[in-house]
Amino acid sequence: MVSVTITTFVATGVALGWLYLKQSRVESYLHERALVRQAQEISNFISINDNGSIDLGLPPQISEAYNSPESRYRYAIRDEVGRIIATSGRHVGPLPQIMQNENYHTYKYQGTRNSMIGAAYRKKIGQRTFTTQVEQDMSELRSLSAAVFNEFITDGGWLGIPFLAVLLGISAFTVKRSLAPLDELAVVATKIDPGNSEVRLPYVGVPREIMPLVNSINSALDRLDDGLRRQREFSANAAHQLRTPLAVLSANIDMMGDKNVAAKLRYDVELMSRIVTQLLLVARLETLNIRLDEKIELCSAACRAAEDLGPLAISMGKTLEVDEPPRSVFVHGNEHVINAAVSNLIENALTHSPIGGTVRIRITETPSIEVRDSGPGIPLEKREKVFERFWRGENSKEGAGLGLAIVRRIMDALNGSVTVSDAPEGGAQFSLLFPTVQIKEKTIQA
Amino acid sequence: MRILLIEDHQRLAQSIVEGLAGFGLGVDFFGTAEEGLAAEDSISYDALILDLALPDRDGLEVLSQLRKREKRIPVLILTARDGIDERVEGLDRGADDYLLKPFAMKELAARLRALLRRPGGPLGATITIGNVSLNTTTRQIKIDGQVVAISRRELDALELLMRRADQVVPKRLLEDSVYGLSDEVAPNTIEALVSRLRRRLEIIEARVSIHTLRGVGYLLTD
Repeated sequence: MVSVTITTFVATGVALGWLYLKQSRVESYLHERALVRQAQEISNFISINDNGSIDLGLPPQISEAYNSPESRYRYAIRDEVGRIIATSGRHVGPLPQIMQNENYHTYKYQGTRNSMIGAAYRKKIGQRTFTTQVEQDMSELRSLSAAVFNEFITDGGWLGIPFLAVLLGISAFTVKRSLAPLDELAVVATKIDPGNSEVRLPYVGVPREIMPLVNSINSALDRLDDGLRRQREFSANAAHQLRTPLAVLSANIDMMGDKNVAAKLRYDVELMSRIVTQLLLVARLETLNIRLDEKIELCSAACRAAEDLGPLAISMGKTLEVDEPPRSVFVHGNEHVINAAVSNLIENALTHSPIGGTVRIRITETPSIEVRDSGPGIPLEKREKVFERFWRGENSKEGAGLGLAIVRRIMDALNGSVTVSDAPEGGAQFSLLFPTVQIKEKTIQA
Repeated sequence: MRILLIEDHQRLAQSIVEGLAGFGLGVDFFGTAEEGLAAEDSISYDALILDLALPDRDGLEVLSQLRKREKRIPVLILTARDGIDERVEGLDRGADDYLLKPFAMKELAARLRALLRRPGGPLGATITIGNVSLNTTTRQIKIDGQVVAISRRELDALELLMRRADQVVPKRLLEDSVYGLSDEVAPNTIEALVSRLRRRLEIIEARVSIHTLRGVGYLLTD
C-alpha cells in the first residue's frame, strides 16, 4: 500500500510538472511571437529620406512604451553592417544570425543583470536592409508565469487534493481486490512442511501477473519434494544396509562355542543396533508426516514399549512396572512415534538404574506418561542439557546421546512436551505431557 | 519340521540355517522370490521366513501372492524396516509375525515355535528351555528326560510361556489362553496361578525362571 501511495504521488507530480513545462513553453512561444510582431511594427516606421539618411518616425505612444525608465522593453535598429542607427537607449544584445530564407529570429541571452528574450526582424526598404531587434526582460515574463501558475493553483489546484484522495482510494481498492487470491496462497503455503510436502499452491483466481511466480514456486516445491523422497529412500536403504550385517554378526555370535565371549559380543551388537535405530529415527523424524488427527490409546502405546523392552530389562538384572489408570486415555498422534519416545525413555531409565532396580512407567489422565528410574537422578543444572543432541552424561559409557533429543523432537511434533524432575522415591522422572483430546459431545435432539 | 527361508543375503541366510539347526529346525533357503515361490509350490513347508528386500520382488508382494493362492503356511517377516506402517502393512497382507534385524537366534526360534502352534498350523514340536522340554502333541513335560506331572492350568500357562520364551507374555493374553474368553476371572487369579507354577517348577527342579513385570506381563527365561 505504501508503494501505491508513493507511485500515485510521483505520477501526479510528473503530470503537474509536465503541465507546468508545457504551459511555460506555450507562454514563451507567445512572447516570442509578440516580440516579432513588435519588431515588425517598429520597422514599419523606418523610412529613408531623399538625402539617403534614415528616419524613424515612431509615434509618441510607442516611443514612450520603449523609452520610459520602467519599461521592460528595448529596441535597436541596425544597418547592413550591424551598426546601430537607432535605439531606445538601453543596451541590446548582439545581432543574431537570421536564416537566408527567413526574415526573423528569436533568441535568449544572459544580460548583465537579467536574462533577456528577444526577436530580430529583417526588412528591406528600397535598396537597403535593416534589422530591428526588440528585447524584453525575462524577469517580468517569469513573474507573469508565476502569476499564471498561482492562479491555476488557486483556481483549480485545490481540486488536486480530493482528486488525489479518490485516486488513492481507487488504487488501494483495486490492488487489494486483485491481490486477494494471494492471501489464500499464503494460507496454503503455511501448511507446507517436510511432513506435508505434497501440497502445491492453487492456480485458481491467481492474477495473471502472479502466475509465473506461483508456477516457479510450485516447481521449486516439486524439486524439494523429490529431494525429501530421496532422503526417505535413503533412510530405508540405510536401514537395510546397516541392519543386515548386524543380523549376520548377531547370528554368528549365537553360534559361538564360548558362551561368555558370546554374551559380551551380543551386548555390543545390541548396543550398536539401538544406535542404528536411533540414527534412522532421527533421519526419519525430519521427514515424517505425523498426522495429529489419529487417536491413540496411551496405555497400549506405552505397554507395547514395555513389552518390547521387558527382555532387555530382565537380561540387565532389572525390572519394569506399568501403572495404568482405570479408564483408557486417548491422545492425538502416531503410535509409532509415541512408542519410540516411550522406548527411548525406558532404555534410558534402565541404563541409569542399578542392578536389581525398577523402572516405573505411569500413565495418567493428564494425559501424560511418566518414566521413573531408581538411579542417582539428574542435578538441576543439567536438566536442560540432557535433551541436546549428542549430550552424554559423565558416567555414560555408551549410546550416541540421541535418545532424549529424539524424545523432545517427537513431543514437539505432537504439540506436547517432555520434562525431567525428581521422582518421589529418588531417581529421575521424565514426563511426556500430551495435549488433551477434545471429546466432542453430540447433542441428541429429542 | 521343514522351514523355508527366502533371504538374498547369502551369509545371513547361511547363519540362519546353521543357527536354527541348533534348535532342531531344518531350513531350506533361496535367494530370490522366484526360486522361493517355486520351492514353496513343490514342497510342503511348515513355515516361511521372508525377507522384505529381495532382488527380484518386494517381500510384501510375495506375501500377497501366497495368500492369493490360498496358502495357509505361517509367514514370519524378517526385515530391516522398523516403521510401524510397514509392520501393520505386513500383518495386513497376511503375515503372522514380524521380526526386526538384527535379532537373536533364540528369539527367531521362539517366534517360529509360536507360529507352528497357531490354529491350522502344524503341531508336534518339542520345545526345550533349560532342562525343561514340552511335547506339544502329547503335552508331556520332562525335566532332564524324566516325565513329571503338572496340573492342566499350570501346563497351559507354562506352554504359552515356553512358546514365547524370552518374550513378554502380556497378562491379558495369559488370562485369555488359560481361562478362555467366556470365563469370569477374578482379579488375582493369574497372579495366583503363576505363583503356584513357580513353586511347582522349583519342586520339580526345573532350571527356568518366570519373571513378573508388574502391569506388563510375565517372561520365562532359562
